[in-house]
Amino acid sequence: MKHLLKFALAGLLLLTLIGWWLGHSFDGTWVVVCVLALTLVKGQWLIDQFMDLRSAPQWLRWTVSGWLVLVLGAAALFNI
Amino acid sequence: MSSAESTVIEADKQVQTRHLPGDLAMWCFILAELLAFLLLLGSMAFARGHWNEMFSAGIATLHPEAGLVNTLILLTGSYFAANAVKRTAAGDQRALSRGFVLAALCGLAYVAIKITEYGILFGDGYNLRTDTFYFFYFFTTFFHMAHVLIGMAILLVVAQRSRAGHYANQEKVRMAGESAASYWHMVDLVWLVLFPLLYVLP
Repeated sequence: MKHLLKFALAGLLLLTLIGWWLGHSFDGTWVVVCVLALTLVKGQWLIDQFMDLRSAPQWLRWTVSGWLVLVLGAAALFNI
Repeated sequence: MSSAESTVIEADKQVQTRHLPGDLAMWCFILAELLAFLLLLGSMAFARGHWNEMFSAGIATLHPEAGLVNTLILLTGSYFAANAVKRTAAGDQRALSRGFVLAALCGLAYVAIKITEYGILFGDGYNLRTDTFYFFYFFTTFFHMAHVLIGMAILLVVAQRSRAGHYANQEKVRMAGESAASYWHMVDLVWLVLFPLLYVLP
C-alpha cells in the first residue's frame, strides 16, 4: 500500500511507452483499438489512483469515468 | 435483522464514509472544464475522421517525441501532486509545498517543450489559419496549455500558503491540497486523451 502511487506511476509510464511503440510500429484498425483501449486503462488508473475517486461519491467517479468513455468513444467512432 | 435491512445499512455506511477529495466548488469548476474539453476533443475526433488525409499530413509535421516526453512529464507531475496530498494526510507538514513545487516544475517543463514546438512549427510556416488540422492543433493544445498554467498557479499558491502557515488547521491544509491536486489531475487526464489523437494514432 505504501508504494501504491509509485506502482501507479510506473504502470502509467509503461502503458504510455507501449501505446507509443504500437502506434509508431504498426498500422491498421487493431492499432487504433489497442491505443484507445490503453488510453482508457491509463485514464481510469489516473482517476482511481491519483485523483483518488475510488472512495469518492459514486456520482463523481461515474461522471469523470463517463467523460473518459465518451471522449474515447467519439475517437473510436470517427477513426475506426 | 433481515438481510434487506442489513444491505440498506451497509449501503448507508458506504455513502457516509465516501470522501470527496477537495472542495465541492472546485469539482463544479473541474466538471465545467471537462464539459468544455469534451466538446473540443469530440469535435477534433470528428474532424480527424472526416479530413483524414489532411490530419495525417498535418500530424506528420508534428514532433512526436515532444508529445511523448510531455506525457511522461505530466504523469510524473501528477504523481508528485498525489504523493504530496497522501503524505500531508499522513501528517507530513512540509510534504504539500515540496510536492506541489515539484509538480509545478513538471508543468513548467511541459510549457517550455510546448512553446519550443510551437516556435518550430511557426518557423516552418504553419499557423492557426493554415488548414483545419492546424486550427484544431493550435487551438486545442493552446487551450490545454492555458489550463496547465492555471494549474501551476493554483499549486504554487497553495504551496506558498501552506508553507507560510496561512491555513488555520490541518483539515484546511488537506482540503486546499486535495482541491489543487484534483485540478492538476484533470489537466493531466485531458492530455492523456489529446496525446494519442495528435501523436500516436496511425
